[in-house]
Amino acid sequence: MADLLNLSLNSSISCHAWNRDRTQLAISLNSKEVYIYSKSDNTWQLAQTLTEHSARVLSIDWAPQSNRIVTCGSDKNAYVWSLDGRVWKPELVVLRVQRAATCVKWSPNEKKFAVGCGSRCICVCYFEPLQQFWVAKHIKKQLRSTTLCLDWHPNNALLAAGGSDFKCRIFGAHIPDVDGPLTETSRWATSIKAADCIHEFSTNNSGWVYSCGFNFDGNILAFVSHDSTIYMVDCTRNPQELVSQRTPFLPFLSMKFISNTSIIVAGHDCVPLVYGLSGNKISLLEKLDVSPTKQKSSVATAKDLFGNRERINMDQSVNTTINSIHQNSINDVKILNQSGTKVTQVSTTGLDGNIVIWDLEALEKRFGNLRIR
Amino acid sequence: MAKNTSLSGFRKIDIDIYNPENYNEDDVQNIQEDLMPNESEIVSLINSKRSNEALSLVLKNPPLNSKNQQVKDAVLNLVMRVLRSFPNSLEIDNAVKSLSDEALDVLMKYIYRGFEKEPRDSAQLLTWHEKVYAIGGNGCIVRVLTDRKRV
Repeated sequence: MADLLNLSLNSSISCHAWNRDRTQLAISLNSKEVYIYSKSDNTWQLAQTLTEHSARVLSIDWAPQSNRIVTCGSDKNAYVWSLDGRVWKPELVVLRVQRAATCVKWSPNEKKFAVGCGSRCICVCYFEPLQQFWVAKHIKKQLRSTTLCLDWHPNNALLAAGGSDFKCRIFGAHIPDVDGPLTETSRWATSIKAADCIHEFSTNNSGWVYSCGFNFDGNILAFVSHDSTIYMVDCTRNPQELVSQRTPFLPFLSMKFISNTSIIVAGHDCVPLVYGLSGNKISLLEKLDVSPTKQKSSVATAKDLFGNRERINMDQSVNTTINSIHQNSINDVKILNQSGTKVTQVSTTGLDGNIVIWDLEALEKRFGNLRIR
Repeated sequence: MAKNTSLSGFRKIDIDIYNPENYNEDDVQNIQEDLMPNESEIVSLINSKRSNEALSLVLKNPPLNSKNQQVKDAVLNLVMRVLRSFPNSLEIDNAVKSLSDEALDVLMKYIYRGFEKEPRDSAQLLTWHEKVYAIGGNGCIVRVLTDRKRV
């Protein structure tokens, strides 16, 4: 239902990414290195350590089809890693930015990727065959602060970006040389100009936008921010109308669509939650609290009693473990398995250094309110 | 030590105005807020013991975008009068339950502002805080701390 993946890391995890068949895992432990773990006979072993960044790695994305990894970090650089025989080889991306590169995301067609950074621009990067280099085009319009999250629309032409200027925006990010002529249209915009801001949505209470995403058919944009609020825009209803739901929880740091109308969110509360989006309503379906309620022993052992009295002059024992699987904030949610547009497994990582696999099908059976459609 | 270390005037220079790329707050428009709770109406509601209505009315148009501190302080005093007019915690309970999510956030902002400006009323405010927290949860407090639009 919710299993702990044991890699004995003992350090907080800043980001993670899976390969296509989920037999390999790239993670960064809040450091300069990226570790590639691979699974053999149900045990995870360190396969390679990617050491090219000179400062903290902030984001990793793994392109499933072309099997390439892109990483970016606070050394202002991004690298594309491709497999050469059995060894991952880096290629530098020329980002032309003066601040940390905070987030990175491959487009669905895997021909380009977007990098968000602190120097108030988003780099849309693609391989230039003439120069044999990864080059970047900048989106600068209306950005006022650091970009913290990115997500591509399934049509490869629209890009959602949220940041510390309390806004989530949709940009045109179509590159004709790479993507070919724009064939698909979407209801978000009648015409898409490159590097143009198409829509801009503000948070209610000036919260940083930590995570954003399009659903599988690309009609709904949802995002979460530091004001503990979940937002959504449904372009089939009105692409200008922002629906928000204030929540009684601590802020969410990460969100992912697990079907066309439901999202999983996780953050400082250490427990993921599933919200359903229907029409103009966002409603809590279930808190995925699977931990068994701890039986408090009524009789304290004499040794504990004296120990505590001596130490802090109190009768209660001080217990810092919390009643959830993650023992600290969850900062990254990734999709692990899906059938069609329904996600069956997600993985979460957090500051406690745990990687937890959530089996949504089993959780649906356990929680009556949880119906993922 | 060098002599000029005693000079601290440079610390007061606003260097951000020389940065062409500095962050401008575009949310705060220079609209003078006329939307302010009507004082006489609220006082009359309090006097006729309709504190519930007074509360929902006073939370309706908070001067969040106003740059005039006097306006904000005047409204805070008005809110405090309304909060004081509730006789017991059962009434508070009912009042808090009838509020919308948005009004609940505004009320929490006034409670924290009240802690700051009128510490003598803290006991009453703590009761209010407890009731609002029971419904709004941690999210309600986070929104007070996050929001740049203050009351």
